[in-house]
Amino acid sequence: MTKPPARQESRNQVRQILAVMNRHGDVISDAVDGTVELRDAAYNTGIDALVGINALMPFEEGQYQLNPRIRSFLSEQLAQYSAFQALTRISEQIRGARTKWRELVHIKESGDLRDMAAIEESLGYTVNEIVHFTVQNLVLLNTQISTDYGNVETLKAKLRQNDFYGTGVKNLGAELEQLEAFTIEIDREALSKGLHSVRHMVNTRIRSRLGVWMSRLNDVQATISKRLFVARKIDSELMYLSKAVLWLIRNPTRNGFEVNVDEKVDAALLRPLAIKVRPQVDVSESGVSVQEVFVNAIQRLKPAPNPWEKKETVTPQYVLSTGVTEIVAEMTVSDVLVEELVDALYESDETFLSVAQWKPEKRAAHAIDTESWLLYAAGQLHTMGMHIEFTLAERQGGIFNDVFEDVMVSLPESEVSELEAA
Amino acid sequence: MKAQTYRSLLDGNYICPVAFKREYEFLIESGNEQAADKWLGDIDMRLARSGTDGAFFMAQKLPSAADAARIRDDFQRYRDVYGPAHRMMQIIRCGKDEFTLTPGEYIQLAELNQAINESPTLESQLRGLQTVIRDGGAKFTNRELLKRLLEHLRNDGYLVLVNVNTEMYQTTGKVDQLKSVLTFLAENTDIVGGVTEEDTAADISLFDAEEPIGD
Repeated sequence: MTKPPARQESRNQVRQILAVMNRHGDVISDAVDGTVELRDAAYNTGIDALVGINALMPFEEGQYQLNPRIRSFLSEQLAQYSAFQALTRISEQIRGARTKWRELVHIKESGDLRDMAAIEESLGYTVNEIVHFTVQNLVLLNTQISTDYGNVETLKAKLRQNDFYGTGVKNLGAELEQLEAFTIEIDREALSKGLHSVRHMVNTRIRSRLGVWMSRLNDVQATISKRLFVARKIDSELMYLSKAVLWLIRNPTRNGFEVNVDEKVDAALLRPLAIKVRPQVDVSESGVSVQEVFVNAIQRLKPAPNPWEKKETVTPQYVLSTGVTEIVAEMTVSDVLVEELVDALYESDETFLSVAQWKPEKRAAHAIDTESWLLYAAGQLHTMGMHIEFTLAERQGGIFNDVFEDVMVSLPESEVSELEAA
Repeated sequence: MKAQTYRSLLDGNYICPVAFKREYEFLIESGNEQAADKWLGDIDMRLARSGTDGAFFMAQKLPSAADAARIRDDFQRYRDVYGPAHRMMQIIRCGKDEFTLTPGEYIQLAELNQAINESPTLESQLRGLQTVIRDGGAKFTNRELLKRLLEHLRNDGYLVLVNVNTEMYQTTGKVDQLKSVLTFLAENTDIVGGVTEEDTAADISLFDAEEPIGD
């Protein structure tokens, strides 16, 4: 779904505003702690730009303060609350939500549904606001209480803050009751009016969480009413403990303190370091147990370096040639004989040559018997493409295999015709 | 006993009646304290004691510049050195009103666990410590996390487990050291402002508990 052009425009503006704030983040971070003043040219440009988008507001001559909405957003983010920071009231939002709800009911009854979606969306935002404010209020209360109102120094101020938050809790409680009544009303009416999506939204976002909020608020109230009593009897050391812990929580980026320590410092601050005591064996002693210790110690030693051990010297290596030598396979006598036979075939006028009659002396000289020769040569000649013909011996009674005594070899027919043509 | 006591001292332990009962009893017998001090004196150490009746421990005879530097370093890294113990002790204090961070106090896991389960405020504080506690993590239940918190303190020597069955812990003499650090912080930094007598005497009416909200 594409956004309507008007929204597209406002999204561009959001991007621009955030870009300006991003560019001048240092000015904003300075402004969180108080006012910023005009300084050098670059800084002043930042201030001007931020004033231009209303992120900074002029405070006094040459002094600027952060937009309170941005400040509250940042302090919520960092959980850093100022003293007597008020809880955000949600009555206004509840009233707004109620009006929008009435309007939705009216639209549904009149049947003119044109503005329905827009109002429903707006009610959704209001509900979100209520949820956000309530959760933030609870976080603020929890932080203040768990840190013993650490943002003020004196007990008097703490007691006043306790009182202040006590009232705040009462108000918040009343508002939560209002909110509950409102959700019950929607729950009932929505069914009869057929506004199921609104009912679902309110039930899931608010009603399901009301119980948890109430119980947390009750807990805060119980703590607040107990707190004064505790604060009064608290030991100074426990007060220090609370404050040190508060410091740790409020300064998540700092690790410690720079303190001046002179040499006459309290021994208690120095954590004692263990001095390891390890017995050593007197080597001049003798005896079984001492012997055992020695053997163990020797076994744990690394082997001693051998001074006579020759180290292989590594000689540098040079490339003499990158060519590849061709290795010709040496031919066996049988292969040579076969080659010669083929050559003879080409050269002689005879069409057939007898393999068995081929150079018997040479074969005898190399102890190649006729049977092996015939078998080997016939196979080789056949693979070379020669035409071979077996000369069969006469069949004898009782033997059913044919036995050959000689092989006649001739050139293949194709070559014969070529030769003839030549 | 003497050898065992001296060994414990050399190991950097705080000899208190809770964690090192027999060693402590040996040291408070007449003459033994002086003897131990003299013995440690030969290696340029001395027998120190927190307060007049606190734990015994071994300290430097004459603190040197290096020792001062070590203290400075400890405070620069306060978050890692003392921060975890302080934060855990604060949780125990919030969960147990009568806890005063003194040696010999009893802490029962079940009791503390109940206090934490009853208060979402405390629970969120405990959950904030889940990365600080040794072997802690988000996956553990409150009770498991609390058990690990107490075991963390026990391993660091601040607590001992006195009854395995009831999971009862007791603070040792070492917690005095945590208090010394706090006092030093109060005197030397601006984070902790003291409470004056005038403040505590102020008469301000207590804020009374109202009827619970939402009933």
